[in-house]
Amino acid sequence: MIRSSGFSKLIFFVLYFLSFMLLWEWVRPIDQITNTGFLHFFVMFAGLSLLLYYFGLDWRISGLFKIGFIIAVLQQLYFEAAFLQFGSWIPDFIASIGRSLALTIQQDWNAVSDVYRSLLFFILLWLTTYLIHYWISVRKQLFLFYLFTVIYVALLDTFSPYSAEFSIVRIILIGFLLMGMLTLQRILDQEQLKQSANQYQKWIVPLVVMIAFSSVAAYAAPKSEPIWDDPVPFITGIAGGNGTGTGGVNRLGYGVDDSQLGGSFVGDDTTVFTVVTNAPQYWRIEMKDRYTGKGWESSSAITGEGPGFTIGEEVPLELSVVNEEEEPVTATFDIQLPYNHVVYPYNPLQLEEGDAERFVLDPVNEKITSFNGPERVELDTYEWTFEEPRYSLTALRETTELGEFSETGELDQYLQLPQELPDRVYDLAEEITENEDNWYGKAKAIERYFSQNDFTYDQENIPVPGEGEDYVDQFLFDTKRGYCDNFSTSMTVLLRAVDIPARWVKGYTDGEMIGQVEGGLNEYEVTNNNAHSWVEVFFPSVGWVPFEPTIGYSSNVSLDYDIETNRDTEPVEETEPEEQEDTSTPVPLEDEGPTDETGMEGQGVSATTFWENVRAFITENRMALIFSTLLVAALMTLIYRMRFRWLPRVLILYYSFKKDDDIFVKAYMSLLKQLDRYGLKREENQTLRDYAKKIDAFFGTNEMGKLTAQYERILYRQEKQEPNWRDMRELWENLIKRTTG
Amino acid sequence: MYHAKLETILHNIENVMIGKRTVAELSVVALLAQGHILLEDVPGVGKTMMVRALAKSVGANFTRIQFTPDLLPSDVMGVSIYNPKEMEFQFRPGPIMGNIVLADEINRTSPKTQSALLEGMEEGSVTVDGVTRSLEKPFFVMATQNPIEYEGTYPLPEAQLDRFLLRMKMGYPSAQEEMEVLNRIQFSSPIDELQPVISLPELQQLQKEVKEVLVDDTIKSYIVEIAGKTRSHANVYLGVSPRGSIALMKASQAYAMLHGRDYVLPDDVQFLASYIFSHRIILNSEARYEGIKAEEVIERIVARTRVPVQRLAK
Repeated sequence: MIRSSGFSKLIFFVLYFLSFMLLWEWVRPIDQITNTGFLHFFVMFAGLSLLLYYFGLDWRISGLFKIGFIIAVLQQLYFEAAFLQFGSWIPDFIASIGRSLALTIQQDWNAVSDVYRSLLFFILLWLTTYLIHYWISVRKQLFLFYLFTVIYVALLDTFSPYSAEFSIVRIILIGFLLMGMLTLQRILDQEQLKQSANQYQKWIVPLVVMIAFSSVAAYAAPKSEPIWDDPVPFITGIAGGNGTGTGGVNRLGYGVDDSQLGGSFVGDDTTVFTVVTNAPQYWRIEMKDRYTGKGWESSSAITGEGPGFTIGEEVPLELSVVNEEEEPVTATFDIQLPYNHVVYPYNPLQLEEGDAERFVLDPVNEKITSFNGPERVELDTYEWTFEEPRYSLTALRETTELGEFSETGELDQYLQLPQELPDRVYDLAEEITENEDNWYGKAKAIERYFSQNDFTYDQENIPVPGEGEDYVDQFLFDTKRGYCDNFSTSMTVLLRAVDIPARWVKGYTDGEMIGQVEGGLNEYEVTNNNAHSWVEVFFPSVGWVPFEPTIGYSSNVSLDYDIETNRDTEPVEETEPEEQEDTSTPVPLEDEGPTDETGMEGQGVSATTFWENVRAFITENRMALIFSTLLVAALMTLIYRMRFRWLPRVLILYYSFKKDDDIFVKAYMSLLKQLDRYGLKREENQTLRDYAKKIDAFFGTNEMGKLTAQYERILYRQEKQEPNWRDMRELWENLIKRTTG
Repeated sequence: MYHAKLETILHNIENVMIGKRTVAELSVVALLAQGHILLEDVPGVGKTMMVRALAKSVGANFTRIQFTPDLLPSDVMGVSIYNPKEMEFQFRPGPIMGNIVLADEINRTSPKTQSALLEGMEEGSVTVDGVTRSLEKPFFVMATQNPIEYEGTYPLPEAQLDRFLLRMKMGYPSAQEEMEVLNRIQFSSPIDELQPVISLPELQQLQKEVKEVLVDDTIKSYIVEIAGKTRSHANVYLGVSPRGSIALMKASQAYAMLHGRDYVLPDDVQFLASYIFSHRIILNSEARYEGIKAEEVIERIVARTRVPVQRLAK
């Protein structure tokens, strides 16, 4: 590039140097994050590259220079042979690159060699320096680079151990100085002013003073605490963590790790299994008993050891008192998405079928795992016989204390709460249950609390509790939005807060009925959307009784029956709220099994059904709708972008029918626009005559000249008389057609 | 018809001044617009030759004033001499009483003498011994001045510069052109072969018709915008006065006529702007220190001004 004076050379040197400093801020954190040594080579390369651009060397020479540098550095770092012994390391080098290229194509990023990575990084730096060079010397604008530098450093500061405390200060100082100087360069360019030290002084002094002042002020000013303590879990969640899983957004479905609850819930229609039974209920997988303030863990280590049993043997698990008189029922599971755990009903008696040698019930989390020898296996199908649970309402209502269990302490784990649990949770629990005297009443009160106090069921944008925040506290008092995990965990914690033993259970809801099979049995389909969590409360005289606090769900396991006594008033009173709750459940959610059974056809065939249908249509075809909208938008954009190709034809058609006084002027103006779209732009300071010459030279015609002469007469000579449009139209059409070619 | 004749005049001048089409055009423009020209150049590039060619082409009488430091106003305007025979003072007209006057090295003479000429240019008349005598019509002055940096000069005050319609430079001919000059001049001067193309009354008629060349409002606003920008430009201490805008419009009309048009184009304005405006602005000291030329400033302003290509919104 040609630079006039020594002074402007100096200025450009300063610009390149500052941008080098800015680029350095990109390389600086890499040391800490990736443990890459030898970073100084990369910095040197960036500096060298920018320096070569500054001197404006021929690209061939500077390219050779840089390639030489890269190869020398790579050789130094990765090969032991001396540089001049080409024979000993060049084949290795080429082979390594070749292998890694192949791995890149296979998308096996982890396996690529270090040489290759370093090479890629050099190339990246090269590209970046070229961009910087372009931005500085041609565009004289660096805002984009600056913005990305800030974003980059901010992100690293947030998500990595790298602390950008000083880096950001440096970036601000360098960046603003750089942009200020470039702005001056741009203005000088635009106004075609000569640059001089004098101007620079006038510009730079206030700029520096301003930057210095604002930096100092910003540094000294009090800063408010971040609103978001640590967005990392939330954002890693968005990036795709697992459900009741890895501390972030939940992919719907069954997950193992529940130590970090929160985050959004992503829908998934994958069928997990179908089950044939006439006693649909909540299918259990496991329970968890230790609440950490963030999620659930097991109180003791899970060993996978425990009492074993085989097909036909009695299951060593008793959840509640079994009524011997009941007829056992069966449930046949056909598994589509195999796991090595076995889904089981409440009060299981025995497994009738199942292609495994041995089953182990882990007493810590009550999870049943199938084994073939020492190997865990995944079953395709199995059949349970079980008792439909019936809980004695009287017994439930009579419970007011732990009784004999309070001595043994064996239920202490179900009363555990973290030390840090805020007091207001305890207060709330007291408040909800103050009017109830027995445990059942208290549990029901807590269960009802959610549906009566403006809690909403929502699967999206559910926050993850931050540092020092409690998952339950956040849900109960701040967000009041959430899905099953929020509701069930909160209820469990509230129960424990009033000293009622409770635990958190995971499994599936009963799913959607998809048909009937012979024998009067119904077939239910359970998908990942049916993965669910709920609450079990311990009643000394009954056992573990499930409760369903989640809005929009109702568990038909917890059939409140009173077999023995009090048939007069109690059941009526008791069933009422139950039903009421059923009907008062909010609008069915898409992943929601139970409400489907009530159906739509039963009730109003009014306007609401229409909207329901619309809603249903939208929800069902959401992806299709989004996709088609995107497609239409893309198509429109394409058509718009390509308008210079088809618009002339439209214009020709339009002007051939138009009979206007101003027709020639309008046609001429649209011709100008079309030429502009075609890429032959008229500069604002260019006269029409000048422009016409350029156009005619480009197309090798004289049509534009003729049209322009005519237009000039109209515009500058104030000729009212429209020219004979027919003659002109031919010229005009010819010209505008050329632009479509 | 006139167009052809004007073209012949240009041709005449070009015959004498080889390769100086622009200079010839500008001279004719100034003549048609009834303005005067300030030629800024070193001696010997053919200033006199050009003026003589122009004078001869329009059949005007040509006078020449060589300004020197001791030249007096009366040497320019004329003087009354006592005639003992007639027993009265008789006025002997000075060299200003011509149609086309070449005022050579105008900045060599004292401001007093300069102002005598400039007054004549402005008023179209001179006052000698209390008698106002009007100058010939048409009256056209082409003043030359050595570049300002030369020693022993009295630079024209800015207000006086405004009296000139345009300022131009002649410049040296190219090597090829200079060869051509030598060839032509070897045996006879081409100026002797020139024949008048139009008569003085015809010229006066043309000068009237120039005023009728149409200047659309868009063009006027274009002129005004350029003039306005000179007043706020960073390098300019004093911008173009409204008289400057008028001058640009008149010159544009004449230029349009010269090209056989009865309406002005933005092209005319663009071409003329730096000739008309450059001597009417005063650059600030910084710009002068940095060696910026007034012509460059005007060109930059024109380059930054939008050409009107659509009718003004009503």
